[in-house]
Amino acid sequence: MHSIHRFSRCLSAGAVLLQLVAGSLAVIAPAHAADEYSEDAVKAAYLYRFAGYVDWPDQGAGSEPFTIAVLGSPAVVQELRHLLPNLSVNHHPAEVREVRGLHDLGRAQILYVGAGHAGILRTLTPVQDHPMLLVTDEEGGLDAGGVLNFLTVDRRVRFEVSLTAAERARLKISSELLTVAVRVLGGRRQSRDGCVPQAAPNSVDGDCAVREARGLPHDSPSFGAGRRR
Amino acid sequence: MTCSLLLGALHSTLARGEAAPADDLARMSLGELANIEVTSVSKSSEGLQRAPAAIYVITHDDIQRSAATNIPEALRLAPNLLVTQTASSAYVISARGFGGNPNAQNFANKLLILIDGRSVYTPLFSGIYANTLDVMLQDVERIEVISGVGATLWGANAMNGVINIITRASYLTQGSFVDAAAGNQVQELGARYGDRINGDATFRAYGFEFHRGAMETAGGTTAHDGWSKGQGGFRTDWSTDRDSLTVQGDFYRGTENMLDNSDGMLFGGNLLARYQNHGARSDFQVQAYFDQNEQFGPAGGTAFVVHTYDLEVQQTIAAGASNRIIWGGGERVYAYGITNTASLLFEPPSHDLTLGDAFIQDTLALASSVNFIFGIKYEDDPFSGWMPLPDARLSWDINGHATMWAAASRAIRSPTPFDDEVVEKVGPFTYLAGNTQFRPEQVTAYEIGTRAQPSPDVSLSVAAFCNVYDDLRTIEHRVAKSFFPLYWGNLMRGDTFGIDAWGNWQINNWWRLSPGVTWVRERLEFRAGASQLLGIAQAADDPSSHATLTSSMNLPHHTSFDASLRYVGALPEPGLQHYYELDARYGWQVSEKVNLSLSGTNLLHERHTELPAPFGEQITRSVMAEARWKF
Repeated sequence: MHSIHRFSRCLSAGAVLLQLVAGSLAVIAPAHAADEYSEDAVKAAYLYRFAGYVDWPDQGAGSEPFTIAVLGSPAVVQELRHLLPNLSVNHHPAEVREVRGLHDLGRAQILYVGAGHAGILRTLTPVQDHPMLLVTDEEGGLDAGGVLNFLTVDRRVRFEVSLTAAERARLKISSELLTVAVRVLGGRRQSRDGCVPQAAPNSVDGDCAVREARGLPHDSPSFGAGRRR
Repeated sequence: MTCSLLLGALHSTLARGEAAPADDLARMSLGELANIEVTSVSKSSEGLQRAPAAIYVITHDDIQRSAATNIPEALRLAPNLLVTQTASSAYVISARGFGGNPNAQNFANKLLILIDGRSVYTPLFSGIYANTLDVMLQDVERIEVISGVGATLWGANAMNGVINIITRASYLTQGSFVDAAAGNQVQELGARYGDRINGDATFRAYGFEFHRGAMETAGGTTAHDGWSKGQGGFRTDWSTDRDSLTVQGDFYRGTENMLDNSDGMLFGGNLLARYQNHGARSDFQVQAYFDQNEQFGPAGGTAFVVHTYDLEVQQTIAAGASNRIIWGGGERVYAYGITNTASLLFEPPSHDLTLGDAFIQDTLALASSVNFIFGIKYEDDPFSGWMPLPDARLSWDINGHATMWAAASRAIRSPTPFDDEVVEKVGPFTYLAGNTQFRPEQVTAYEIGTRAQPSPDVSLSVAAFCNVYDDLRTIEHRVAKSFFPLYWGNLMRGDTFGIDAWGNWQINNWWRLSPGVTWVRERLEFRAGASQLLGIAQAADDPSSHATLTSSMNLPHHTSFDASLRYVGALPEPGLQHYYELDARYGWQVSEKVNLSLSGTNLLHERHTELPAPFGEQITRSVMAEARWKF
């Protein structure tokens, strides 16, 4: 116990010291920090921008808002609330809705399922009553039913695509989106036809064949997600 | 200092909370978004954060930014692990106590380590040869560290913890990479090349060679434990619409200097194939691997060869709306041969051990936010037969901001040739003999934990545990006739309770602090009839607490500074004072392709001891410069 007591005393002394260091470092740090974005902000921007690269079969009718539903990620909800006001998708005002389960999805066009929640997609009925772009955020997200799945590679937020899942949801994915994807699963013909390597200035891989390389590393989740290594 | 503080106060008003405006992001193309380097990879977004267990995830980014030069050093980033270096190539890795006690030939044998699904736990004495743990750090996707029982999924010996080292799929490691490092203790050169085979398949191949310098003995002379290793390997990932196949392999050879200044040798390799089929409602996986490990002491010393053959199948099924069932089984054969010496013998010296298992686990959604997970594994252990390893967990997701979970589970540490078949001699006199009646060491573990994100900048995880142990190994002597030979018994029991906790605090957009602490209280006792030789301390020589504080900073001009301070409490017996040590790295991303860094481990002392002599050497401060080049 004695050592713990001494350790906690050290910690509190350390906290004071850290505040001092924080103060002095603030002098040099901000120059670089200003042009950086958080991971959640980038994901929120993706969710909004995806809408421009996907065709929904029932798009355009009515005056309902374009809804991005978010399950299991309060941080992304917060970023979308900053981002979406005053933005629209095909002349529909864009809005975010935080949902707790699949029952209160309403008529959302996009559903983003936060990390660790993709398993819930397996309980969706095989033919959904309305087309929805399912975006997951974990390893194996596409296997769980995601159309798009975020990956973080070398501190950059990237994504992969399942054209099979897109077809199932009756969504058309533009070739430009496929060009940026780290890899594209399924629908081989479609992806090869839609492949425009020269139009991929920002794609790291920038190559059709690379995008078609598949093979999920099925590493992981333990207890809850239930995969054993 | 005062001056800079004043300046700091002035500047901080300009600096705080100035993340770039979100509208810029909304105007970017997908390609531009894909190229944004994000400030921090938020810990809270890890998929495993919802799992009802004490899981700490060391990410690729964490490792790349740290001063770690090998897997054991990287494992120090996990606050729920205690990593003790005893020699240049030797480490003791433990979770929640039971790091062993070399005085009693008791090893850290209650923790399981897997690399891409391949067990690297040695069946001979159940423990880890740290010199077989090397992987190309650049290719590690993440390391999952689970403190607590994981036996239902991972099997026996996942008693106090499981470490899963997971490398990247080859489609994420395309292109060329070269890494060169030089310092007073470590010199390393490594390269990797990744490319596509055809439209469906990618591969990578890598190789590295390193030398790690000798430590010092307590007397201040060289410990003659310097070592070198060369390793190469590959990974291919292939898939069609619904199937995927991964084939990967590694081979290595090394030389280790020994105390008498002669050289020991190390050889090995492995080949693993994993096939997966993804269906709408179920996933199927079959995995097979072969692993060979050969270690040769100096001439006339102990040597051994272990061949491992493993086959596992598993299926995950979404049954109805609320059940997710995973079931499977496997068979493993360990074929080993040991070169006995005059003082250390195994009878028989070669043996084939067969280990089989079958398991089933169901995740039942009781409500949208409440999951009940229950499962059981039956494992057929070569020395003790079929053993049930059950597990039950309840998790509750509160508002998406917090998860609470509770668990009860059972695990064993299975007997090994070292428990059952060893013979130790002094001259012609046998003073210790294995015990064929030796039983598995057992634990019933109770845990409760929570993981929460009270604000976007703060996340924390706390787990409290109570482990009830029985049949722990003791050293016994005969009563009738003669005292010797001594033998292993199972006459200790007791419990441990404690807490492991860690958090992340994103102070601003360029600085993150991550504290972590583990506190363990062990209450062990002998059962009636125990010899009580070597005392209670023979079970473990663990500190009652250890803690880490990791700081991660993104600094101007594409530089970064990362430091990790660790505290390890005093060891009881053999005794050692508590100590602090520091690892740090200053990195400069010169361009997209080039990264230069200066780093050091164990910076606070020129030499320090983590396990008392003669079991641990004096660990030397290490500093080095490193260049990484991607092209």
